[in-house]
Amino acid sequence: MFRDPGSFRDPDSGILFAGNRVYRHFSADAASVFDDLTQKGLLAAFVESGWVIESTPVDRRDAPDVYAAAPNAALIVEHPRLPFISYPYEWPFEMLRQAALLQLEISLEALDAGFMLKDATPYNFQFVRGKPLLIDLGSFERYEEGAPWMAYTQFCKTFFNPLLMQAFTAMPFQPLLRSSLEGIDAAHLSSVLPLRRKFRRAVFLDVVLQASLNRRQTSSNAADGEERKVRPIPKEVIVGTLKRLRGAISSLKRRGGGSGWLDYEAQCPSYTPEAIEFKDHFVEDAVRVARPDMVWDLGCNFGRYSTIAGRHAKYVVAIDGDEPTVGAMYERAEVGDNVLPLVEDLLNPSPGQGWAHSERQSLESRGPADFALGLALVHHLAIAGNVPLTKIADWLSSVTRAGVVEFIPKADPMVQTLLRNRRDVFGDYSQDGFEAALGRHFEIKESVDIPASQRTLYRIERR
Amino acid sequence: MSLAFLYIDPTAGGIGLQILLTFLIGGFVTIKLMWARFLSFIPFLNGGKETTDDKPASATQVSAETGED
Repeated sequence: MFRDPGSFRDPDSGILFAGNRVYRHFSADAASVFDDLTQKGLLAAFVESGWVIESTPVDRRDAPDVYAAAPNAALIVEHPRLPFISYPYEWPFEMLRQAALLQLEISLEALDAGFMLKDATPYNFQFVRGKPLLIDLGSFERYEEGAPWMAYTQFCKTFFNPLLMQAFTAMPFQPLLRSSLEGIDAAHLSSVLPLRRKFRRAVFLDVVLQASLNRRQTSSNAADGEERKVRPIPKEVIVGTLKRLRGAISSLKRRGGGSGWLDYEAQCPSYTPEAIEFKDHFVEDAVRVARPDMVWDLGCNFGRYSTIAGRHAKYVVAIDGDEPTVGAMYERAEVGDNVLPLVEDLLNPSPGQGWAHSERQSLESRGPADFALGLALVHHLAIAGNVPLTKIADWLSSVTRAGVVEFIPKADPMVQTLLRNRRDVFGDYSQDGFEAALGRHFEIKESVDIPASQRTLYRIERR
Repeated sequence: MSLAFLYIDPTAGGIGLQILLTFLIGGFVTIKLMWARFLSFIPFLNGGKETTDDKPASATQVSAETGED
């Protein structure tokens, strides 16, 4: 039994793990809100809509050990275990936008029924079956007449401002959100937004004016040093704010969406149609035989092989560093809903971070996968990223138990493109060198040359 | 820079904005109400219509007008 290292900020609620089972504990206050939500039918409606995670109350007599682990708990519920936890700085624009809209919809419906969400952060959402899902039941509280929307600034910093930044400046939000877990400040965003964008109503009110009020509030607090009386805020102002943000976010579109990787499959000269068909069959057969619960498709591009793997695996995490491609993949209907697309630069994957480096887990610590696909990946790591083959094999062995990897020799046109403008310092980059590196950790169960190409596929299993 | 900036309440500006919107909407409703009363005193401006049934816009109506972007 242990507590989720990322669930400690709310004294009224938190997550416990016991083996494969997941529990949420509530204080007496939070438990009474949970009971109200249940009695009014709101929780059931949210669960039915696929908006909020399922929860089953756990009787104290049936699980005394779980209650013992949370001595102040008045109520404990059990949640289904999610196959993979992802973070907003790993989502493309389209996924963060969808989570933001769901946060607003839930807030509006909850407010209508007399509840509010006391926080508004994308870390309270996970993507399940291709859609966002609110996992923090401890967020709900009763609405009190005249109370402001306390999570408004948090919503802006973690949802609205990152989306605005990408939509209006073409700067992807992921690198900034990864280093600033609390989000993007209104003043910082305001300083980089083009002037003409600042005259949009939501941008003016929720970014420019908020940044200005933040500064004024600070200086006036410093001047008088007295606690100010909080004036009552009519519910209509909160509803108006939620709807204004919903309207603004719905209309946002990514900027700078073009990426050469979107057309990679169609334009790659290394594969004939027969070679593609051969590779498809090899990958599909390997996954079918392995029947893995969890596949990681490393360097998934547009998700062709994630989709194939998804037919035989329970869950696929599809990882690529090209954000527009991952965003387009998320919206592709052909990709199964058991495929989770994530933006991740494998040369610099997500680290463990936040409080004590454990609040948000590293990519590696969320593994290992049962099976990994490393197709047309190794040459990028080795030649574009200067990572020696031995280190690539070491890393693969830490993230997966088995898989299919592809080796592409220097003579391949795509590797020649990588080498075109640089000195070839990759004397160790060879098929023999790759096999020797793999052999330190994996047994090569099968290797096949892809027809009409110089590429080789390996099916491997960790020793 | 003020020292208080180091201890900023992250919701201060957000609450300030909600208070500001409350005043703006309140002012808008008041002006609308006064305008309706003004019209009721000058029948020819009002096309001779009875104004006794005119109701001031509710805060919900006003917020709906100021809501969706």
